[in-house]
Amino acid sequence: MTRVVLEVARWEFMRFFKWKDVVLGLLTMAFAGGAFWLVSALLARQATPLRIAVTGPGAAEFVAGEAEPGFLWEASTEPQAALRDALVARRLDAVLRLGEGEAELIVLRRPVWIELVQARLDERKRRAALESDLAAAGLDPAAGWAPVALSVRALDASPRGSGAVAAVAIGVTLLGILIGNAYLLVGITGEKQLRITEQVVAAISPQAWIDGKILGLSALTLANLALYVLPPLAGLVFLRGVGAPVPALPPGASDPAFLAALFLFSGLGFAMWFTFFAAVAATIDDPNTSSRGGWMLFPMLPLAFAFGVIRNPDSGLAVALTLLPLTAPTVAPVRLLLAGVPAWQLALAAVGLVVTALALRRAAGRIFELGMLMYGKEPTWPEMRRWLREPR
Amino acid sequence: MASPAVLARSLVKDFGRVRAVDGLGFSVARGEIFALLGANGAGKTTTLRMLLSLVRPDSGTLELDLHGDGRPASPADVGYLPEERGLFREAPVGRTIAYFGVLRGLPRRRAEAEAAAWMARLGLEQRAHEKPDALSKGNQQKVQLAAALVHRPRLAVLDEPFSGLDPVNQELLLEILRELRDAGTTVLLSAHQMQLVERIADHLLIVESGREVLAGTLDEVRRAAGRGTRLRVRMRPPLPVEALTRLAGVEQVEAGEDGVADLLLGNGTELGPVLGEVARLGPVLAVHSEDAALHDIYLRAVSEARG
Repeated sequence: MTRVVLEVARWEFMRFFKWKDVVLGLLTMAFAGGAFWLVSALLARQATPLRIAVTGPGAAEFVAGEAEPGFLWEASTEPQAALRDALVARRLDAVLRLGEGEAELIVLRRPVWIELVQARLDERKRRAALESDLAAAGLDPAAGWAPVALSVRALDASPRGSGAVAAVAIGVTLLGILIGNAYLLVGITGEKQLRITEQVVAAISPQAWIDGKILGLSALTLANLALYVLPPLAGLVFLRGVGAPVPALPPGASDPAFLAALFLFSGLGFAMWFTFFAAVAATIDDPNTSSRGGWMLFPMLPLAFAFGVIRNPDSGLAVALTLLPLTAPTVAPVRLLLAGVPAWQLALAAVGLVVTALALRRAAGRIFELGMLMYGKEPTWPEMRRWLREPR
Repeated sequence: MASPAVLARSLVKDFGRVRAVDGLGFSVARGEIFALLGANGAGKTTTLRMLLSLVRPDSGTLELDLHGDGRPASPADVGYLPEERGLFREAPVGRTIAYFGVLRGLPRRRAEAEAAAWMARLGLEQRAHEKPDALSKGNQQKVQLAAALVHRPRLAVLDEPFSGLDPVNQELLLEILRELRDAGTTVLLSAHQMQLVERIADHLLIVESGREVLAGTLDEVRRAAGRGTRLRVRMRPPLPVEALTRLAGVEQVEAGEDGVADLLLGNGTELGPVLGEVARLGPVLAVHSEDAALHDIYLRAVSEARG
């Protein structure tokens, strides 16, 4: 790597990376997180449970047992008129009248929690039937409800983490693509519009320029991702350390092999797709009017395929998507997290990504070289095909 | 005889059906100021871009021998101020100048020192930390000039360096160009400000429609154009313009206000007889003579080339 590529990379990084903005962003995030936590806590403190009076045969059995969070079931024998008055006066939130094989829910207006009532009714019905059968068979109904002890013995390697972590990893990579996309579009079309390009291309080769840009903006994207992802994680770890009631990190979130794969594959993916972005951006004369801006979102589709892989990481298609360079940046780390991926597949995926990135780099360099000096009109597809065939 | 710093032979460049440069050839000696003159669209910028390998000629050759020993030129040897120019909006101008120095091969520390020196030379030392939008157009132009020269190149290619500068800064630029020449830098510039070019250029090349119209030193160009002297007379109005035009040796008359007329005399025409003839046409209140201005030569040459 030449000195000039590193200098361009440094310049591109420093152009957009401002410590002042970083500190401001982190403070804003901390403030927003704190405000969210505070408002949630206040709402939780002020929240009163929904009071539902249950009447009719079997009301006592219905309200027995554990109540759902936020609900307060009360068996009632009061007359319907009194219950209705209580409902209108908002001393009650609902009245549930049980009948034979049916029930009626009386409310002031249709609630959002109606499915929960339905589920409780169904569950109580099944439970009563089962207990009746068990009693008729002379068995202890309580033993029928005792949970079965389940232990797992995996013959192959166990998953390193959960689907939630995989989904977050895909989301973070897509976020990185969007961030890099924005920087490249702004950086390159802005330079074209500010007429800086000729002065730079006269000083260094276009290939060195695009290489430096991609390197610098990839580093900038990773830095931005780190700033978005690491402080909340660090905050979570800190809060757990001081004994605050926060959830534990999901399985796999701190797995070193997964994190290394995520870093490697998303880094290679950024390099490959940013090369593509740079070439497209160099052909855009005015981002406000060009229809080519839509091409910048093209990578989102193959990378988002990884969401489908979460459900079935061992399928043949998932293996194929691991090896395909367009999808490997997200699919490879996700499969590593959720399934045992042979080392040869990871190695082949990485090599494929590197080869594709290098091939794309040459083509993009050529388009970049000629597109950056073209003002006032955008090159046509036939023109770009001709550029790619012409010798340098 | 030393080889020229720049040697162009029979350059041709077409853009689609338009021929931008049509068989142009010229040479620039090491350490001289060479001015490329021509109307808008005459092919000046395309010629400069070919010189910098930004555009490939369709035919013809271009040779750079900036070291005088046949060594190929490197990016560090050349400085370029393009006609289409701008600055990084989000970066302080001092950093931008240093960045271009680094791109041209200077170590970062030295580039920063040279950038500071250029800012001081251009009277912008207090503005180094400001962004371009905070500067006037003229000051932005000076920053761009510094970015082109920060690495002290052997060849400075300056496309329209005077545009956007006020008279004071134009004088400053003339001074800097002379300093560059004195330091051995070869300067190749294009410009429309003829009154400035004639004060600084060692050699001129006037082009029209991509072809050479006139070339040489200012004296050689004057001789080739057949334009010797501009005679300014002030007579009591009304001016006898028709009669002045018919005088022997007078090629052109430009009538001004208050009885002032500029008579452009052919090369070698003697002043005495012409003045005598003018005096016979009416009272002469004032007389001033000077060598024909490049402006006049240029206008005439371009007009003749256009037929």
